[in-house]
Amino acid sequence: MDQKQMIGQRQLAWLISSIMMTQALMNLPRETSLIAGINAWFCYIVPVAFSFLYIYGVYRLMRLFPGKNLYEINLELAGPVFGRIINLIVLLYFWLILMRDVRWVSFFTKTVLLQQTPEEIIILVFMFVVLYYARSSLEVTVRVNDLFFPAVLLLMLFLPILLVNEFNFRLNDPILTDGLFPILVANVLNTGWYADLLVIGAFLPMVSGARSFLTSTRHGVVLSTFLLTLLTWINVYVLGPPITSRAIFPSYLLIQQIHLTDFLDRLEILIYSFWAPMIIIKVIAFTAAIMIGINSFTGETDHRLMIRPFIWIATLTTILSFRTFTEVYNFANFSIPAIFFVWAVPVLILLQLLSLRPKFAAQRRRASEKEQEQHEERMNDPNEKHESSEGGGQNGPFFQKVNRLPYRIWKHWTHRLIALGALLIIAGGLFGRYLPAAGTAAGILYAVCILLVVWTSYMEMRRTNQPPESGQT
Amino acid sequence: VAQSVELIFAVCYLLTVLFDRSSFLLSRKTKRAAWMFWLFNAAAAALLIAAICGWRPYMPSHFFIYTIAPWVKSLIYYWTGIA
Repeated sequence: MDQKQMIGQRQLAWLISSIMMTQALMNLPRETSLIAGINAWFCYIVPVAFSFLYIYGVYRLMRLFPGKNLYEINLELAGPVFGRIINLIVLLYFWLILMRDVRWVSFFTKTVLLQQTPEEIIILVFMFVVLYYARSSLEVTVRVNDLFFPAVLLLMLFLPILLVNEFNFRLNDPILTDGLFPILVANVLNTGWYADLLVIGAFLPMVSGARSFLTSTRHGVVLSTFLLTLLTWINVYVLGPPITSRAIFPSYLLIQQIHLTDFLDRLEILIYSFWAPMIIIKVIAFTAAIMIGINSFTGETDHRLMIRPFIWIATLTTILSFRTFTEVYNFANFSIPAIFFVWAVPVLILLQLLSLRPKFAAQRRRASEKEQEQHEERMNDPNEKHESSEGGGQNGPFFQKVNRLPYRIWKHWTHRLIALGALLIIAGGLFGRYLPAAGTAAGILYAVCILLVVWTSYMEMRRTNQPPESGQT
Repeated sequence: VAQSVELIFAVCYLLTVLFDRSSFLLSRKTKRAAWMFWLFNAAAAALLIAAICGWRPYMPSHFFIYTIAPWVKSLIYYWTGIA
């Protein structure tokens, strides 16, 4: 992959959201509703905590080895032999996720849209589109994502309004009365879906600065969490947990419920046309990450060399791996979380431990000094001060004051709100059984927390010293 | 239908091999890259032949599909009282 390619902060945040959200949109509410029932929308707080830990771990490694991707960092940390074994594990993990996503899309397309078309042909055509895009740079993919992500974001934000006549709140009250254990189990399962975030390690050299990476990725995770929470909440309150947990594609069924007028139906086709490019973008990102990983074995930088044979291998292994939808479903919901916890988490911990070796003391010192210098530069930067004083724009004094708050305040507020969200779930789960109003109050406050975290993480991103985004006009 | 699918796959594979410029890039690449390129091609060709012949070779993903997934599923359903 060309090292000169750059991704801007916002672009990275949106790419992360796309990667984490698109596939989960189709699947997550089903298993979560089955396990946690009406409390399914509380099942994203543990994944967020895990994601933040992972992001911080990668941020540390990025500071130690600036300009290197995760594969190169593995080789630096663990040596050529053991590093390649780790890279192989990471590659295998990405390959499994790629197969899962492609097969899921093909099943969905076959079931909903193209019943007569052989599934192999759907996969083949899908993979040819991926081949076409993956041969170009990731920058192109990111720009395509810039076109489609806002559309999906707006659509999801308007979904409660479009479905306002379908809500049935009484059916699902009271909330948080079934105890904490099902919520915890569903949270742990959902962490497997959030493990798609690991892919970003392959694109580290494309991000300008470790701090930019940290804030953008965190915002991307929070944004996708907000949207997934919203979607699950709508699913639960429109379809109800029994239907959500039994439908093959509950989110699709949900969108089919939109009836704006007597004649404006089949909106799901329009929505699918926005969603489909995003899932292609996700598969392209994984393909690019695998190509970069293969290059770490060959020592090449041109990712196009292996792309054609790899696309064929991916296509054929996807066809040969799964026979029925149940296999894909079980693999996605039960195997991937197990692989993540048994396989990926120990590798990530090992990398952090390896980076603490005395051998890398000089790098750690240099990274600290560089960060200190950057901090001082930021403090002395007249543009930064100018932006701070103009921060409020046309808003009132309160907003001016709030917008002037430095990065670390926003970061702390993000952490506090996530911790508060977790505490609210625990408190609601403990007291909701005896006092239903406590569960409802905890649920409302939790929703407010999630909404505020989107704002604080966005402000974090904004307050980071932001270089101009390349590849943007 | 099945025979048409197999034919389409075979023709598409041959077309991509013929029109792929990667093999021309190989002359400028390292020995390891060239070795890996041919390994990938051989793997793709072998998988294609297996798919066309209707064989289903055991792959790493099968272990996770048939061994891990049912085990984790039954464990979670047992814990949460679903099953």
